[in-house]
Amino acid sequence: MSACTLRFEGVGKVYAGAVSCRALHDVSLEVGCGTFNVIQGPSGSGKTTLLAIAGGLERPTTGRVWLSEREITLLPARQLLELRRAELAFVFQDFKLIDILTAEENVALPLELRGVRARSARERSRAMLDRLGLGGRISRRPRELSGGEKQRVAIARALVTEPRLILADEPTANLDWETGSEVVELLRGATRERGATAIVVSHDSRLALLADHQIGIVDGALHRNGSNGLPGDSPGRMKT
Amino acid sequence: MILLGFHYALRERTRFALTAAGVAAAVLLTVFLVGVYRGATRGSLSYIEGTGADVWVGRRGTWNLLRAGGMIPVKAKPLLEEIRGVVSAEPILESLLPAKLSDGRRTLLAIGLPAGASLSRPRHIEAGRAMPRRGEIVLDRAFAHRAGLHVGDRVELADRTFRIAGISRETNLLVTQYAFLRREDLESLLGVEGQATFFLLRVRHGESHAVVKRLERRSRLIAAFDRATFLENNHREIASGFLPVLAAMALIGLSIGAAVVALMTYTAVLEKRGDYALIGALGGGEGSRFLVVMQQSLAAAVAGALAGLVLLHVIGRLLPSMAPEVELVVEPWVAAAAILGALVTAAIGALVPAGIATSVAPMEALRR
Repeated sequence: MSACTLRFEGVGKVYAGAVSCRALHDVSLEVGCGTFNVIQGPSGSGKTTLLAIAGGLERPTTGRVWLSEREITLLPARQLLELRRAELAFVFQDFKLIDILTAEENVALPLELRGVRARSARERSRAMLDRLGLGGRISRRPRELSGGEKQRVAIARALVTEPRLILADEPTANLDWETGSEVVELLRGATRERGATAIVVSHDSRLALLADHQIGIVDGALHRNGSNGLPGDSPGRMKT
Repeated sequence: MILLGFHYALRERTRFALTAAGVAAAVLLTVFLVGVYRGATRGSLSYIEGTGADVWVGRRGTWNLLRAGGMIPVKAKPLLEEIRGVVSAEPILESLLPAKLSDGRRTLLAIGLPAGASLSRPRHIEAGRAMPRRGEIVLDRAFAHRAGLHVGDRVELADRTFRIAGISRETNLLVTQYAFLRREDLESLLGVEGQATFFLLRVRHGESHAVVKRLERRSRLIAAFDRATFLENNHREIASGFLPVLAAMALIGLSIGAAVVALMTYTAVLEKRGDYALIGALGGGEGSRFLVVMQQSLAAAVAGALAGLVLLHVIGRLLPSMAPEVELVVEPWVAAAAILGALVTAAIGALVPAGIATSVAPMEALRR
């Protein structure tokens, strides 16, 4: 398994409560390095849970998950946090920018959380925003930015730490088609340029056309998806 | 180090101002009370220190200047001066007496000075003379200011009128003030003759303790104290009345400050719950989120403490005209302790909100 491969093996997730809810069932999946992957499925199908488990934000009830040859399901919370810092980045549907911070400060935040000195973090933040065409917006607060600009700032925040795995949750949902396409291109560009792996959860069927690999999920289980020529070997078990 | 908490504090100005105002009120209340206490203590001790008496002698049962056990005949003076090590003995008479003012009566701690008093006269004089003649009085400046009296004016003390010969400083005990008149005048007011409440002794260098022992061996009817002990007894007298109230008020003030910080920080954390989840998802550990909450609270505490001290300074300037008997003494260490106290209070107040912030699951960032 290469250094940035993500592998799910028999992963299940049940949310306990008054009425328990099975979010994922026996999911086995391997996502290769440098690929742009789109997970599609209806609401409540388990897409976000899959993303959360891939990102170490949730632990599976059953099964095992590997990232970069490390079984993350066995990692204690501290090491999981270190892993998130070192290798992962998230992009959210509603941008999740901190409204009191400027674009520059928002992008610098994950660096500061990693202990990078404020000055250096600001420099790297500015450089990243510049690369994403937001050099003139560094001092703007989120409320002063358009939806597309906000998502680009969010992508800059994800890329500035140079992650090996980018997890995006409906990154185009709040954007028009053109802006959404730009955002997808940015994410695809990141996978090409940096060899990072991207997993994008989306309702947007058009997004699938841009994916290297498309993964379908229904009722918490993966299923073979004929479109885009996915080499899934059986329902619930896929390799991209 | 992540500085997000300071950004929150400074950019959410209304919340920050309200939190700082709560801390400022707590600091103001506490430091004001400490300042009043220190002022009253200084007023009480400054006169005793200023006399330069090495040994204070009173009737048995005497404990401090305000708690005299009775009187000693003035004719005991030569007997005291005979004691080995004693250089001189100066008798003073002391009593609480009502002074009549236009807006009612106020009690003064009258000290009757002997003719030619060298030890017992007030040391800090703002106007006029330190030593009154017969029919004259030296008043504390707070009392004089409150009553609108000046040197040369007349004041009625226990139904007798005295001309004001001088105005003294550092003779204000908050609840009462010193007034100095001739011992003969005070004897006349009290209806006694040839009596003293205290003898102030000068002794040979380094013999205070030995003289106290000799005095106690010589007579079982008297109580003698070296200067340090007498000062300590007077300090305890003030402290016994003041400190329980001060401690209670300080506790209430700090509790209110902590409650305000806790409430404001708690609402801030609830409002920004999504941000704390995001920080977790971006790689911020519990320590980072704890720090973000603490920064907000500590920033408000520092601003509040400084605002409280500035307000106190303003009040200190206004007090002499508004409430002259209230004398504020705020030493630098008290101000520093107030800032430290505010920080500790704010940290305690932020503990629960910080606990909530650290317990927010990063997974919440993915929920819409």
